[in-house]
Amino acid sequence: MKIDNPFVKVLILWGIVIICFLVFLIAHAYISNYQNFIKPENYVIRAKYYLQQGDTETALREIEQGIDVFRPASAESLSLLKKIKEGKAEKSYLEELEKKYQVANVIEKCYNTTENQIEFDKNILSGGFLSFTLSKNAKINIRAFWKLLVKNTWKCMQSYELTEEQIMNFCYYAGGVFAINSAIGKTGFTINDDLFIISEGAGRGSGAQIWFQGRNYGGNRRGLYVLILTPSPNKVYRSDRFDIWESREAAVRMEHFLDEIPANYIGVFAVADEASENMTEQLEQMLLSFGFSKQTYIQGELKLFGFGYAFAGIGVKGAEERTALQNWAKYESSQDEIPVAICGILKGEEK
Amino acid sequence: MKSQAWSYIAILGVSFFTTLVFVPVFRWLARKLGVVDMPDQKRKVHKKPIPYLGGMAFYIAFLVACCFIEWMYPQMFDDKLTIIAITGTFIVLMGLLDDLISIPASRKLIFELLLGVALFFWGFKTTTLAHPLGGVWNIGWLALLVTPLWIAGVMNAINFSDGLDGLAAGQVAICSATIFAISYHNGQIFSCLVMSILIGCTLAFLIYNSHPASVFMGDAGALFLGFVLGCATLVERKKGVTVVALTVPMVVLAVPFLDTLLSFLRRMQRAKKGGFFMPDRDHIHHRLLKLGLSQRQVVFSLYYFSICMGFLAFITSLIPSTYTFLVLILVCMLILMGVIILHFLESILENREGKQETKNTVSN
Repeated sequence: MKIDNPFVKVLILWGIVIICFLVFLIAHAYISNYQNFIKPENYVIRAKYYLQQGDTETALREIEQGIDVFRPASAESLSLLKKIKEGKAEKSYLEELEKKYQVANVIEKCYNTTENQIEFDKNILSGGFLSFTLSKNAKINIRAFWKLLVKNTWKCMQSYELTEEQIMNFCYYAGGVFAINSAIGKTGFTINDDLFIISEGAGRGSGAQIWFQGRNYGGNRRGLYVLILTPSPNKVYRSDRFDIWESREAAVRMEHFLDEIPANYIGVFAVADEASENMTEQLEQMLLSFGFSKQTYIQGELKLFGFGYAFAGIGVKGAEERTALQNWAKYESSQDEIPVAICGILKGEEK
Repeated sequence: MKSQAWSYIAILGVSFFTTLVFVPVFRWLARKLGVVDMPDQKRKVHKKPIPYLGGMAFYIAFLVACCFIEWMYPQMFDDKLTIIAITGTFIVLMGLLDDLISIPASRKLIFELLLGVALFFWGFKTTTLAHPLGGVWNIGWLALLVTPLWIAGVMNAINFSDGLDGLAAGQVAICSATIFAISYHNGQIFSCLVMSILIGCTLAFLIYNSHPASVFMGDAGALFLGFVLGCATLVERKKGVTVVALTVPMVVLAVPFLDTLLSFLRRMQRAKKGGFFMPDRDHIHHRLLKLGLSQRQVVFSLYYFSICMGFLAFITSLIPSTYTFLVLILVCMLILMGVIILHFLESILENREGKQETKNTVSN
């Protein structure tokens, strides 16, 4: 084979390159589809696939596990769950599911509009999980955190006049984690006052709020806000903020800070914007020693929270893992949504 | 971290073996198509025709390694790898065209800069530059200029150093190993992935390309290596901060950059005569050859200098940014000393040759 024309040689070699490139694109598309399918967070895609295959059992398992592990549940996942459960579950369960779906929809719409009031049926916020009357102090705290929350993040809720109970229901249906018996999860410890923690992950104007005894120990600066309370009576022992995004030194400083906290003291944590970039293994272990657990998948690995994630938690120094109260919300850089994690302990007064 | 280290070794292995397999294939194809580098008495130092296209194996190895990463380590895969593969394809196509039908350097440069602009909008950019007194400068819209210039600069620096057997591949291997070490230390996964691929490719290629070389990488290979290296050093680690605001990659690539800078200055002198884009035989490796060093000695001395620079770059990445400029001053002093020594040796040689000629004339 003797080819003298350089242009023919160019065409042959270009052809080889283009064929290689096309093969790469096809392989890449195939692999990325497959990897997307098996990714834990893509449970909705899998559930839809199994539904198409007629395997409702597996679809249901996928969606229920997904909603449990990846918070907050999207409107799409809740709608799919509703579809599977329709006619098969109890009426109260379906009603609650419908409310969660409506709230998820409102929050998703909130991020796509500049209006401060969108179409929304306030009736879904009636009833709810509260089995007691909110205390006067709790009501003050709820008003305060809601005011900041709708100013910063859920702007489309600004023009709604909601009662404190309705606000709590909204937060609950939006994925908030609340203890209504003063208990700090399963740690065996209690707090004799109301406590509300709101964490906003990466996003414009994100902040953290820790409302305790009428005062906010959070703020709008980036990092991990910490409030330490004495076991009994619950008094503020120390509070600080650590910008773990900015430097490793902040993480080390926080390690020392937490190390000095005596056992059985209560730790309240809230992320503002970002607090995982320079997280050290020691610091993560230190946080786990407050009874928290790694519940969220970051690149296939279980972690306490990932880059830009919102995280809010209440634990007790020295408590067993998985006993503390915690909540988180995932951050997706491709979307304009600000992850919000809400967590709280309510003392309440019997109805 | 331990499991990550194994994944980098596996990726390095994949790119190594892919290159090892594909270089002979392209060498055979180059011979069949007659894509060979003919020796000449001007710039080239080889004595017999050597096939080009060895660098095509880098491209194939990169694509295979990308698929391997996505398949085996999806948590480490970054879409930026796909972007490099796509834009890299254009670079390989241009390089092949240049290998077969020489295209004017000015057109090549325009194409490289345009690709650099495209990459800027794909997120390969540096919005900060190292400040000599510590910290970083926020360069704002100037990033649109710096990014293409950086990519074109690295590509051409590697291409210019491809003048002796094993020189470009070895230097890229050393630079990649240094950047890998720094990135591994800082936990920068993307950079580690790309550097593992480059180390694997270049080490395998050196088996065929060490003196006496049986194959050349050609412009396609050299430009592709430079392109990948340039892109990988531009990826931001966190909001707005690249590896170490380009300081470390600049130190790592000191040898090819110095050669490019000297070449640029020579060309500026020639520019009045319209010869700016004309190649010459005055690159550092040519000048060392003229001093009487063998090809192997020149290559190893430049490797040695690159390794020294690599160590300095590693130290730069470890010390607080306030002291970075001290290392930079040290690097500049070393480079200046190297240039002066080279110039001094050349003068001695010229004098000796001059005396020899006079002696010959007198004896005749």
